[in-house]
Amino acid sequence: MNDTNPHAIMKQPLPDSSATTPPALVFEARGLKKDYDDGRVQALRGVNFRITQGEFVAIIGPSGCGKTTLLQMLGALDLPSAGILHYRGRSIAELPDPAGYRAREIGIIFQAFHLLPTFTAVENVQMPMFETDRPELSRTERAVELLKSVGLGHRLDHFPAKLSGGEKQRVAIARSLANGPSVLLADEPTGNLDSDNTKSILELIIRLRREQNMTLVLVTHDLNIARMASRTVQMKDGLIVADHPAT
Amino acid sequence: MKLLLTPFCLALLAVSAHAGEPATDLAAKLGSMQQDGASLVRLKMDVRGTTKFTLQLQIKQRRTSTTTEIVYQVLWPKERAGEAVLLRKTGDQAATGAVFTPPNKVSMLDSSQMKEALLGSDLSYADGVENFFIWKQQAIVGTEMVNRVSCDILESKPGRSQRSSYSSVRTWVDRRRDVPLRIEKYLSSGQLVRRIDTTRVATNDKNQSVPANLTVSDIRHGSTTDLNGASVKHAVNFSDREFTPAGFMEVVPARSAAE
Amino acid sequence: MTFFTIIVRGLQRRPVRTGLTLVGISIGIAAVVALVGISRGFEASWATGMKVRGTDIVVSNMGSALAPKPFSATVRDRIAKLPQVADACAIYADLTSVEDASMMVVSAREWGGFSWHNLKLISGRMPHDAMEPAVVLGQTAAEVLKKKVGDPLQLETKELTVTGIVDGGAMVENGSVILSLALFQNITGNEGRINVIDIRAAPGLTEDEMKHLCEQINTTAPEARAMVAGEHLGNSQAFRFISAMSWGTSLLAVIVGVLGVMNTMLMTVFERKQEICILLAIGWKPGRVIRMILWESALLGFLGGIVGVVLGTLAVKVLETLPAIHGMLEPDFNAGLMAVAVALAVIVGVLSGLYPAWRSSRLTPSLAMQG
Repeated sequence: MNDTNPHAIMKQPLPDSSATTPPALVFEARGLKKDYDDGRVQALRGVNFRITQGEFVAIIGPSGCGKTTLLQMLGALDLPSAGILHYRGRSIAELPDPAGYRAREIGIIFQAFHLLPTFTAVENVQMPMFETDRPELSRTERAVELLKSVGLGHRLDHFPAKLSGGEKQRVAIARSLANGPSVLLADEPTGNLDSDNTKSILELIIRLRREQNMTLVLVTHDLNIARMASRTVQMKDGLIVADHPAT
Repeated sequence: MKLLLTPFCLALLAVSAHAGEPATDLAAKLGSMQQDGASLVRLKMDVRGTTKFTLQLQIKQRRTSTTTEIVYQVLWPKERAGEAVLLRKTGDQAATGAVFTPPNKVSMLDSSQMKEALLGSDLSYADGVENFFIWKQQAIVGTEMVNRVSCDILESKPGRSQRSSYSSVRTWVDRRRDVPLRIEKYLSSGQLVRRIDTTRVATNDKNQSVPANLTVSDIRHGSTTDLNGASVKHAVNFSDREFTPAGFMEVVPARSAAE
Repeated sequence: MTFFTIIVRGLQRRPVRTGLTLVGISIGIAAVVALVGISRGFEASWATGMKVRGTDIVVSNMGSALAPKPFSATVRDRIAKLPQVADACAIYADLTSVEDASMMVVSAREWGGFSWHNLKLISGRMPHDAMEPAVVLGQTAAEVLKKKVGDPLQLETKELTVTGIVDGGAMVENGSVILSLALFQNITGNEGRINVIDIRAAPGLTEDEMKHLCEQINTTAPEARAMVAGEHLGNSQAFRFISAMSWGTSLLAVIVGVLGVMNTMLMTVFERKQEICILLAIGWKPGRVIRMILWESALLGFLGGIVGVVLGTLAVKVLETLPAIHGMLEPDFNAGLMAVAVALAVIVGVLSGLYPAWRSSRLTPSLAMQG
């Protein structure tokens, strides 16, 4: 799962659909709740689900239904108020090193890209690697490789201000893959993009997921995007109201 | 070594008192500290009025509880060297004096001339010789900060028998160090005539806090005179002749009594 | 890209603000360098003055004033009889206003004493005898007093003649009015009084033997205190006060610098709140964020220190050229002072960054999802 070898992640085998052993359980939530403002705001009101290795789960629902909050819980960006949330059998709330978990196990793609403006594309991609033992030269090589894999080999030294929206998101995707995560969390990754870019970014994410056998949890309110997923989870008012495979 | 303006300053800014004493006791203490026997002071006087000039002065003084005698002698610059002023005041009697201008002109000063400028500075003859701490009326009239130091304000007014050109003098006394930090002198009209400030206080060889410099401001003319002490010598042997119109014309070094 | 690159980029983000903060801290450090350098230079120049006169031990009575208290001249003879004393020279040193100069060193030396030997005539001549009404001026003193050979000089009650201009080999010597002790005692009424004795010890004494000789002198002459040359000024309460004031004043300026850096770093943390949250969200540990902020503030301090050292040195150089001060300063800008100043700036930077760093570590990564 945790791969610090820069080349290994590209060599991971595709999931074997004919395997007899069931895929590993990645996330499990039981009665997951999240309150804000001393309980006055209930973002999650008792959510139950299981996500297995290699799944592509789309979480859909109207604004304020708790999609992003759920994603934050999965990424250990915030802690649940109540309930159980496990990652590969371990409670996320009790992780001894939540930053290490975010650095190595998880890759996060934001709607607003969230690149650091004073750093070039290749430097932005290196940022998560500072929490690994990777030496400087290896960090640069890895970042260049990742940027090439997202089609930005010609934009390595450009600052974010000089990149288009689609290019920025490609840099963000490359950054999310920096430490070879097994889970990709994407929060409305095409929300700020036009339709052409939306299509190509989604294709990129899906391709990378498939190549690297990553679990993908993607938050969206676009049903067309959700249809690309292997499973759709529909949320409303902090609860999962529907959970079914994509048609 | 040098404690810059001691006895001469004491004449202008007296010393030592203790917190909590009534005004008369404070004034008496300041007054008696001023009358500290025979001393010799060397100082530099910078006059910053319409005409600007610098004088190096030697001041000989004999101060007892009843009599004050002072001789100011100009040492430098050469063109004024030898100029001298003799002032004398006994008890409540009017001050008298004489002025010597080389080579041989001696003019006597009567009490009406005591308001005139001492050697062209912003001090008057009276300022040098008058001890307002022995005036009849003394009162502490308030507390005020001077240079960030809390001071008691002592107001001194002359009695009927005590002649002065001033109707009142206010002294801001730093009671912690027993040093006057400011003196203001007023006319009977209430007009402020002269302000004397000190910004540097030093400790002398007797462990007394004393002013190390003085700035005398003539409020009406907007001019100032800076006095910076160079040296002081206590317990000096002066001959009586040195305080006479015949003797004050000679510039001689003073010998310490305790050799 | 290294972690240091990230630190530097952080400071480059707001160049004007970083620049202004640098100015603030560098002014504080410049004050340290200038004031402490001048005060140390004063001490060093006295030590040099002693050295060029060949003085091993100084006997004086430093009290709270800048010049020593006088004592009887007979002390000199008592000390001179001690077996390990090779030579002794009685001196009356005074700091006084001379003509229109506010403060001059007047150094009256025993006629024929060894303290005259280091004086090299630049022009004119030495006095003929102990009572000739004459002075020689160090070259700086001559400039300050605007005197040349043959000019009159009013010293206390007497008008003397400048017979020579000398190079004394040290700032203190060159800034002095030098004359015969007997003449000075006569014109100031200080017959039989001196306040310094320069001692030359017998050749080959070790440091311990020199200290032992000081103790012997102190027993022989309790009126004054013998110190190995160079250490005597540090014994002066007045000098210690000046030294403490130099540090005190400059530290005040440094505190202003601290507030400046702290303000800048706090602003940085507030402005980069989302960036810091993003770094936390992509896996940076809070400790790394703290290190980033602290390194940024330390680097700011370091750069401020370097600029401050340069500014302080330049400021003193400019001061030295002013007519009123010319020749009076011999600042001691040694490497140690520079290093202390820069180290102080770095410490200031780190201390100023502590609170902002702590604030940054309290940010939650989930804020990255917002906006």
